[in-house]
Amino acid sequence: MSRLAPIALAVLAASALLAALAGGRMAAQIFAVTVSLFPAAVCAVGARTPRGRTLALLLGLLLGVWIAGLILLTSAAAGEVPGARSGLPFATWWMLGGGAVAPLLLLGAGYAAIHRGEQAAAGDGGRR
Amino acid sequence: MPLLERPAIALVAAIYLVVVVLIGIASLRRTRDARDFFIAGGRLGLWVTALATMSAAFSGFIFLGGPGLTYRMGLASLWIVLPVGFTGGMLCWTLGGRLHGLAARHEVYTIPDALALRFGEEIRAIAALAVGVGSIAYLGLQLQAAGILIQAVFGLDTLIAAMALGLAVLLLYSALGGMVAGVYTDVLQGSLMLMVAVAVFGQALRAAGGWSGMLDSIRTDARFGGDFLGPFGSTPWFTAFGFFFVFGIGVLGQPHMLHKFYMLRDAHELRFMPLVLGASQSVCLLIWIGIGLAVPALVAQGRMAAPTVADRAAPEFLLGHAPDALAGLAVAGILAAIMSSADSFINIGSAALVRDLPRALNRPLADELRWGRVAVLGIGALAAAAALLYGDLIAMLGTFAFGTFAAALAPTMVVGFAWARVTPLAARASIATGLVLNLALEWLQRHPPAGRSLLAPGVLPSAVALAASFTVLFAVSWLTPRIDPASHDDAVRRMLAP
Repeated sequence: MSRLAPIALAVLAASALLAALAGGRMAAQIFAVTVSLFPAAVCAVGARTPRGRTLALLLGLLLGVWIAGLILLTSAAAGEVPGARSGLPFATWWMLGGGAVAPLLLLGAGYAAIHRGEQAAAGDGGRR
Repeated sequence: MPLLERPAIALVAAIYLVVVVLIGIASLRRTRDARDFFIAGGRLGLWVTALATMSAAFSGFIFLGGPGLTYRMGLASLWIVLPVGFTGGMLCWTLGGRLHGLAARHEVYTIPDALALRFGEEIRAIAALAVGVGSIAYLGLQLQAAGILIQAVFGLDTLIAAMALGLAVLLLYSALGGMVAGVYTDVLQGSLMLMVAVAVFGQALRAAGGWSGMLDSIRTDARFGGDFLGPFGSTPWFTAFGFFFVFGIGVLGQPHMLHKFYMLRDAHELRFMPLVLGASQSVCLLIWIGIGLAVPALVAQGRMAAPTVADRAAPEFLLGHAPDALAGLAVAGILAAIMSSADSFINIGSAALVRDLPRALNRPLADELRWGRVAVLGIGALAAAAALLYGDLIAMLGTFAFGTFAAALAPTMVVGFAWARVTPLAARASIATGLVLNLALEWLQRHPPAGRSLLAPGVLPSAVALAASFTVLFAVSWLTPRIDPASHDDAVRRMLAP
């Protein structure tokens, strides 16, 4: 585990707590950003190998781009959001694609690739 | 009109209930000791474990509560389930191998067992209390969902009678077969849930005039409007991201899911589990989206009366807009979702009562298997009482129950099992903070002192409790002396390997 991972997770947790207690629009956006990055920080705490840490970083980048895009898309007036007048609004597709589908593909494939190394780093053959 | 007036539907539901009871009876012969009862003998492969985890995780919350919540708040309800994209990977990566490693080398059947191995016996009592409280709340949600569905199927007059019928079936096969019955029924139930989700989604699209017709009906109706289809609608950001946080990170403290890692026969089975688990969960969510959007569309088109209670959206859609065969299959699938989660909570709750609490008091029971079966009865009765007292939407009770496990256990599990610096005092303080704060804030939210809410509008009590629990864990760990790594057992040292 990187020494920075627990510090990053602690900072995110304290920021989320303070934002939730503060209330207000700006605090809501801070809360949104901190909790969006949380999964990547948790994975970084669990990672045992350099490839694992890289995968956690990639997840953090993906979720960072996702939340930044979501804030931008939903800050625009509803009429200006592409696709708002037919089908699902683009912002909804962005929410689903970046928040669910992309992490599923990244972590699903990424974990399959790093699994053996992570288990070996724990000295765990795995069989009962 | 009760579904009983359409006998094909009631027949399929009744056949399903009989089958799960028969599985419980058949499993009785294969349940020889406490290891079989609590962790299915620890001999499951990838597909069985993934299906069992999926069906334990996805319950009446998803199949009844989800469509109901979508009908009430639009697609913003999806923030609850959005994390399925990463939860499978995060679970397997951070905790799957570690928990399996402990169970492979020690007699570890419960989450408090694993916590006691890592942090010492002093943690067992508070951990067992958290597991007990969360299990009762979560089981209460399943009973509430079962009651609503059985009331519709069999036309029973009161919710209490319907809940009693669901509880009776559940107790019968859980008390008989324990986790062996639970896992076998989970596989049947998981398969059924996948089939039903796909079929109901197709039917929802057909009934509401196709994807475009459905969305246009919602958008042009003043009761719903375009916001209903947006990522937030009228839901505050604190609520949407609070759901994302509690259900995304809180999954790391859900014993009914973590428990499944003890049952794996080989840690290498974890390799493809995130893909299998994530994909199967995503398929199940089709029922949430399908019925959740079809009902407002049909209401907007004037082809369906607005449900008086949001949680009845799914049964009323199936009653009025699905062919009998599909409605029967769907009712069985929803019952499957409810029962598969409920049996996990009965098992976990009974383990907390008959295994962890007596051990915490230095009085382990001689015959845990027999007392486990007795405890099942008490937990069922407490859960039914909790559901009736809570008296809110299934999804809100679900958020509270999930949040209880999340706030109490997730930080200690995920950080404490990976980072050697976490001390026993920090772990106990974090669990106590999460459990007490979640219960207290939930109480104050529902009974605000002087009519003023303590938290800002939209802030979820369980999100605050979860963030506080993480913060306390780190703060106390840094403020208390390190523990000598040599004092740990070999399996724990391997688990904490940097």
